[in-house]
Amino acid sequence: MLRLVSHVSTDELVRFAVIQQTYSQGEWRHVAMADSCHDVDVHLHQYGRRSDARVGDPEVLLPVTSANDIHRGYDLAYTRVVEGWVENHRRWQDA
Amino acid sequence: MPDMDRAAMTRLVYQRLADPGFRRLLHATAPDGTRPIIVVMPDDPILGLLHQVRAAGGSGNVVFPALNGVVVLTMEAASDATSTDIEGAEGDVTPSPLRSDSTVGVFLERLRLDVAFSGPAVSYEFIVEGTDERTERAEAKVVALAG
Repeated sequence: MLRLVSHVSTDELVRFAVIQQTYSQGEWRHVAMADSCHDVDVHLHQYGRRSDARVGDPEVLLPVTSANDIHRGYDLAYTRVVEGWVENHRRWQDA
Repeated sequence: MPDMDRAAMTRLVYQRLADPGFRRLLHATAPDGTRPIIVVMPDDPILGLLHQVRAAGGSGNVVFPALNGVVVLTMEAASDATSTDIEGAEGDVTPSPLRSDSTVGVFLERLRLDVAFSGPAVSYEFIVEGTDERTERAEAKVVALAG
């Protein structure tokens, strides 16, 4: 799942969230989420199966100091969520 | 581009989503406001594509690789598998049915020909073979042939 927030007039990407979900016990549940939602950095949240909530501190992937960082962070987020799909899911199962 | 594998194609689409021009090509919107994107490859069977469109709520933005970029379609499946009540867009036609076990690549070639004659919106019937042979109807609208 991908959430994008863009600038109203320019339509440029200003905020994003790349979310890995898994279908468990009749619902889609978050496994991992890389986002830029606090505007200071791009970070990765991990979730736990038992608590169905975030576990641990977010991992900072990239500080955000310019619009270019949002685009670099967007690419990095894909790598960490999609290419780390199996590992993220294993961590979710164990947490 | 056609030799690209699914993972590379999905990544390309993801990267293109950062481009406002590409996002504007995504016309199909689900009832919850999301815009479902279905990445398909030329060797995928059309039946799988139809299933994905239905799973996305009945309409989706279909993206697949082409020689010089990506093709973007808006596809809408009829609400009932045997229904023929899709309201055709202006200038639409109903060409001869396609077998649903044909590939997306075959569908694209048909679409290229049909679009040249009839404009960007074309309605199709897909013959689904099985114990209860039936037809499914879907409307495909070409948004970009090389987006």
